[in-house]
Amino acid sequence: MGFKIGIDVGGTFSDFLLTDDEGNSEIYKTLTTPEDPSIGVLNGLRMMSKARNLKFSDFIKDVSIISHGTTITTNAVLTGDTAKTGLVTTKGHRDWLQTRRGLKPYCYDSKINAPEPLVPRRLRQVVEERVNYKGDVLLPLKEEDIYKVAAKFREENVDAVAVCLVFSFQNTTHEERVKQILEQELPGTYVCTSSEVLPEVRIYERGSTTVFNAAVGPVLRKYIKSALERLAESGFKGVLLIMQSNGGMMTPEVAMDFAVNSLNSGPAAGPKAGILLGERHGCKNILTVDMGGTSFDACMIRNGEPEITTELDVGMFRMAAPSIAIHSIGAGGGSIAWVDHEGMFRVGPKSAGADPGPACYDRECLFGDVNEPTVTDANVVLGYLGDYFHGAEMQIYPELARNAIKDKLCQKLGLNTEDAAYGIYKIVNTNMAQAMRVASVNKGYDPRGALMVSAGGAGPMHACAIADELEMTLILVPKISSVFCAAGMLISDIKHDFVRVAHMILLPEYLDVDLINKCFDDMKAEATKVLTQEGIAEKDIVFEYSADIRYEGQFNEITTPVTMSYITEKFEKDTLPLLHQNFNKRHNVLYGYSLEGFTQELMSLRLTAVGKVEKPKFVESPSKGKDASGAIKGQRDIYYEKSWMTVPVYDGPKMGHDNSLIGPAIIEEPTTTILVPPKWQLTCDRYDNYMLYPEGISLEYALSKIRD
Amino acid sequence: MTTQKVDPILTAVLDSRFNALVEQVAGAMVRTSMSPIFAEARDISTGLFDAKLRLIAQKDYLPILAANLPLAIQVIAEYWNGDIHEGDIFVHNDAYGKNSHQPDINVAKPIFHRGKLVFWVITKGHHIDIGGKGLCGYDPTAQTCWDDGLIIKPSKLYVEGKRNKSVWDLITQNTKLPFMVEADLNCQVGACIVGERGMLEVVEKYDVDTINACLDEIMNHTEQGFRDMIGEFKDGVYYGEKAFDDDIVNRGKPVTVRAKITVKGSDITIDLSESDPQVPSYMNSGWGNTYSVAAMAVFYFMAGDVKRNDGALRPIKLITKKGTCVDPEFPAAVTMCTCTFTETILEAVLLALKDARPEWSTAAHGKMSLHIAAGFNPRTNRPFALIDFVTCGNGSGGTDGYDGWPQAGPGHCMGQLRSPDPEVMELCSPQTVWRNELIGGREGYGKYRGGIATSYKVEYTANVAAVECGQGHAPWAVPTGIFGGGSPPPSSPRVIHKDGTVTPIQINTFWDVKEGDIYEQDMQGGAGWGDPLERDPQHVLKDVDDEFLTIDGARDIYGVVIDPETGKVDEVATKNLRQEKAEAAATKEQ
Repeated sequence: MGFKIGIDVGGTFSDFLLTDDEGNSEIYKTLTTPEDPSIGVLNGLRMMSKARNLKFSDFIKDVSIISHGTTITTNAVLTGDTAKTGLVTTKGHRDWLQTRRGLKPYCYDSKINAPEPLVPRRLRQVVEERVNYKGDVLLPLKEEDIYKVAAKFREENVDAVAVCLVFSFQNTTHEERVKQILEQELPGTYVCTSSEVLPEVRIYERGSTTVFNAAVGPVLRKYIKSALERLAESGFKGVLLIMQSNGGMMTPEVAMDFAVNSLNSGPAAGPKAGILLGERHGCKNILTVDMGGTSFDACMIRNGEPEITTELDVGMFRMAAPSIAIHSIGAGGGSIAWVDHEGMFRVGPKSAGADPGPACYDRECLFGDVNEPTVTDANVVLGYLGDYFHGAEMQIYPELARNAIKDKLCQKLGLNTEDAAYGIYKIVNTNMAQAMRVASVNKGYDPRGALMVSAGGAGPMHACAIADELEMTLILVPKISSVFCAAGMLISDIKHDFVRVAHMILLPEYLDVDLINKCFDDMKAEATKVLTQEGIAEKDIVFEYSADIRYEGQFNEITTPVTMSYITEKFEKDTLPLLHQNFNKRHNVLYGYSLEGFTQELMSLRLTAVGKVEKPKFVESPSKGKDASGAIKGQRDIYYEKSWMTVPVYDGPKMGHDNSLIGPAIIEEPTTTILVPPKWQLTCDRYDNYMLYPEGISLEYALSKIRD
Repeated sequence: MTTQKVDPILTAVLDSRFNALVEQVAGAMVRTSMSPIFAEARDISTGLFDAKLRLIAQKDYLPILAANLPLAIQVIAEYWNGDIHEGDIFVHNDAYGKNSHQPDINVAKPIFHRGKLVFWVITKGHHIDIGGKGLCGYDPTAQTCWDDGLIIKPSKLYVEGKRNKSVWDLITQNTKLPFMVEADLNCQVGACIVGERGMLEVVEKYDVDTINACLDEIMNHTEQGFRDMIGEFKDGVYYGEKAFDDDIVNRGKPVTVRAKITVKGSDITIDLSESDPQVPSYMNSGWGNTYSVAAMAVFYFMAGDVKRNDGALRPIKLITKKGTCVDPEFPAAVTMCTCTFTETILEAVLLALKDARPEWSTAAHGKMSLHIAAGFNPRTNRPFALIDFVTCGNGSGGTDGYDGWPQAGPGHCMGQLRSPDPEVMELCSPQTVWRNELIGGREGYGKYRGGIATSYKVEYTANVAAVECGQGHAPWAVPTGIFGGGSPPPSSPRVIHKDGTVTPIQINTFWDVKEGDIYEQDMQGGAGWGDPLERDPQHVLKDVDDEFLTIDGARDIYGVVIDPETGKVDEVATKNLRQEKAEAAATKEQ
C-alpha cells in the first residue's frame, strides 16, 4: 500500500493531489504558511487522514512518495530575503557579478539604475591564486588571504559563501582548498564552489549561478530540515522529493547542496503535467501554455522532452543551471490595454495585478476616476466571462468593464466598445501566439505538429483563437487545472545534469574516444552514486548523452544528442558521421545555414541521469455519452469576429467522459471558463479533460495529425 | 487601398511580429559567428525594409549602426536597379557609398513572393579584418580609404541562388583572416535566410498590400510619437562643441566638431558644417556614419525605448559641409568614424541639446582608448585577431536622478556591447588576464556621478602586433561634466615589460608586443551630472562602503562627513561642511 502525494506550494494556496494504488485521486487545498511552509504541508496531510477517517500516524506510514514543488527559493530572491552571502574570487576579478558583462537592457533609456548584485562589493573578497586555461597553476593559492577573508566574513556575520575562481572548471584544487578552510574557520556557514555547482566556462555565468546557490542554500536547508523533522516525527517512512527547474526531482540531501536547482522551478511542473496528459493520447510533441493573471508561460516539448536552456536571467542576473526553457511574457487577465504615445493600440506588459485588478472587480482606484481596462474586462464585455467567475465567489460589474474600455480606448482608436474589446482580445492573443512562436518556430519546431495544453484560469478563453493564429488543430484543457502542477510533480523522475569540459576537434585524427568515454564514465559513476544514495536501484537509472558542439572557431555551441553503442554503451568512432549530421541539421534549422564538411569542435559533454520513480495510476471515468445537453445551464450573448451571437452555457462540473458539443459555446468550470468559438468542437476524454478541435474533422483525425 | 481604413489591431499585430523577427535574425548572427566581434561583443545590427526601402524594424545591438542600415540598402538597390532577382544576395561596405566604415560589411537579401520583390532583409556586422595593413581594419597611418582596407561596391554573393565564387574569393583572399571573414559572411547569409523564412510566413498569411498599408500606419504612428517628444524640447538654436586628441599627423592639436542645433516645433536640424576641416588620417567620419550618430544622439533624449523605424528618422535633418571632418571628400580615410567620431559628435550634440531639455540630458560616456592585437596564437596553432572589447569598459554618464552604469562602454556602445569573458578570451587568444575589475576615482563626480571605470591588466604569452586606437589621452578629450558635474581624468595605457620597465602607449600608434609584456589601462568612467555637493549623502556612503571612494574623498569631493568609527554619515557636520564649501565656491566666483 502506498499513497503518492504531489504538492504545489503556491504563494497563497498549496494544492495537493493524493493518489492510491488503485489509481483513485483526490484533491486538497490549504493556505500556504509563508513563515514555515512545512506547517501548511503538514496541515494538508492531516486533512487527508481526517477525510479517510484514519489516525494521522496510520495514514502517514502508508505514504510512499511526497513530491513537492517549492517557490521558497524563488520568493527569497524576489523579496530580497536571501542569506547574507559572501563571494570569494580570484584577485583582480572582483566585480564580474556587478558588471554583468556590461549590458544594459534598453540602450537609449538613461533613467534606470544599474541593478545591485546579491553580494555587495565589500563582501566580494579576493584571494591571490591563478590557474590558466589548461588548468596549470600559474600562481599558487595564498592561504593567508583565505584566513583574512574568513575573518572579514565572521565579523560581518555572513551566512553563506560562494567560491568562484578563474578557470576552476579546469582545475578544482584551489576552490576546494578555499572551501575547506572557510568551513573550518566559519563552522555552520553554507559554502559552495562553482566547480561543484556548474563546472563550465565563462566566469560571470558560472559565478552568478554559484552566488544564487549560496544565497538560497541556507533558506532551502532550513526549510527542508524543518519539513523532514516534522514528517519524521509523524512517522513518515517514504521519500520526499523536491522539484528542480530542469523538470526533474531531487532528494532533500541533494537539494541542500544544489539549492539553485530549485530556483524558478515553479513553472517547470506545468510542462511535466502536459507530458502526462499528452502521452495518454499518444502525443509526444506538446506546447504547454499557462495564462494567469499577469503572465503567460509557453514551453515546447519535443518527443516527450521539454526544451532545456542555460540562459535564464533572474532579476537581471544569470542563472545558467539547465532549466526547462519556458518563454514567459507579461500577458494575462490583468494585462492593461492602452494607447501608446505613438497612438498604437497595445496590451500589456503592464498589469493591473490583483489590486486594483481589472476594472470590473470594482476595487478602489487610486489614480484617476476610472480603472484601466484589462484583458479580463474585454472578456466580460465580449460575454466570454460571466458572473460565475471563481465559482461565483467574486462579484463582477460588467458596466465598469464597458466604461473603462469606452473612456480609455474608444475615442482614441475610433472604435466602438465591442470592437475595442475584441481588439484587446485579438492583440493579447497575438502576443501570446508570438511567445509560442519564440518557444517553437524560433527553435526550429513546427507548432502545427503539436498538441496545445492550455492551463491557468484565463487560458481556455483564448486557446482556440491562438490555435487559429498558429494553425494548431488540437487543444487539451485539463478538467482541474488547480492541481495541474501537483500532478506534474508526481509523474516526474529524479533527474540530475552533469557536464565535463572536453575540448577537441571532431576529426578522426583528433578524436579522443578514450577521453570522451572517460568523461561519460566519470559522470555516470558520479550520477550512479548520487542516485543510489537517493534510493534508486541501478536498473532504474537511465542515461542521456549529449555534446556541446560548434563549428571550429564559433563562440556558441548547440547541444547535440550523442548515440552510444547498443552493445558496449560506449561512444564508438564510427558514429562520428552521425554526430556531424545531427549538428549540421540543427544548425540549418536554427540559423539558416550549415557548413557541410566544415570542421566541428567539441566543447563539453553532458550527461543527464534519470532515476525512474514509480508513477501513480489514474483511473478512467465512466462514459457519460455523447449528448452534453444535460449540462446546459443557460445561455448568453457573445461577440466573436465582428458579430453578436447567442450561445449555450454549460456547467462544467456536470460534464465528463465522451460528452461532446459544437461551438459556439461556453463551459464554466469553478476555476476557468472555456470558450468554444464557431468552427470549433469539443469532446471530453477518458479522464474528463476537454479536447478542442476544428469542426468537420474527427478527434481521431486531429490526433493522427500530431502523432509522429 | 489608401481610402480604406487600416485595421489598428492588425497593425499592432504586425508591428510586434516584425520587431520579434529582426531580433531572431540578429540572434542567428550572434550564435553562429566565428569572430568574437559578432559573437561575444555583438557589434552587429539587422533590419527589415519594404519594397520602397523604408525601414520597418531593426535590432541595433550596436547603437551606432542604428540609422545606417537605410542608407546601405538604398545604395545597394540603386546600384543594381533593374538587375535584382530572386535568390540574389548582396554585399557592400563602401564608406563613400554611405556605409559606416569598411570593416562593417552589409549583407542584404531581397525577398520575393510570387515573383515580386516585396521586402528586404539586411544584416551588418564588423568583420575581424578587411585587408590593408591595419589590425582588424585599424591603421593609424592610413591616409586614404584604400589604406583603410578593401572597398566592396555593392556586389552579388549569390546570383539567383548560386554562390558567386569569384566574389567570395575576391573578398576573402584580400583579408588577412580569410577563413574567419568567409565564416562570418556565411553567418550573415544564414541570418538573412532566417529573416526571409519569417517574412514569407507573414506574407503567406496577410497579403502584401494589407501589410504595406499597416506599415504606413506603423511608421506614421512612430513619426507622430517622435514629433510629440521633440515638441517637448524648448524651441531655439543651441550650440555645443567637442574635440578629440588630434589628427595623428599634427600631434597635440585638437580636432573639433561643432554642432548648431535648431529645434522648431517638432523638427530638429543638426548643423555640423562649422566642424574642423577633414584630416589626413583615419580620423574622419563619412556622411553615412555622421547621419547615424546625429539620429542616435537625438534618440538619447527620448523617453524610454524608442522605436527606430523610417518614421523616427523623418523629423531629423542633418546639415554638413563637404570637406569637413564630418563629411570628407573622397578618398579620405574614415576607419575611426564608428568610435572616436561617434563619441565626439554625440557629445557635441548632447552638450548643445542639454539646455533644450535639461531633465533628459545625459553627461557623456568615458572615451575609449581601444587595444587591438593580432598575430599567431600558439595555443590554437592558428592566426588570431582581437579587438579587445574589455578596453571598452568605460562608464556611462550621469543624468538627472540616476548615476551612470559601470562598464556600460563608450558612447557608441551604450551598454549594448557585451564585455568579453576572460576565460573565453584566454582560450582563443595568447593572453592571461590578471585584472579586469572596477576602479573608483576615475568617474566624473556629481550629484549623479558617472559610471565607475574598469581597470585592466593583461599579459601576452606570445609575440604579437598591437595598435592603440581612439582618444581620451588629452585633457580636452575627456567627457565634460554638465550642470556642475565633473569630468574623469584622461586615460594612459602603458606596457609593463618583463624587466619591469614601463612604456606609455601613445594613442593611435602601432606597437609590438613581446612575449611576457603586460598591457595595462585604467579606463575612463562617465562624466557627472549636477553639483557633487548636492549628492545624496547616503549615495556617497554607499560608494565608500563599496570601496569606490575613500572617507577623505567623500569629505573633499562631496562635502560628506563620515564617522570612521560608526561608518555613518555625520549629518550636522556634513551640512556645515557643504555650506562652507558652497560659500567658498561663491566667493571664488566673485
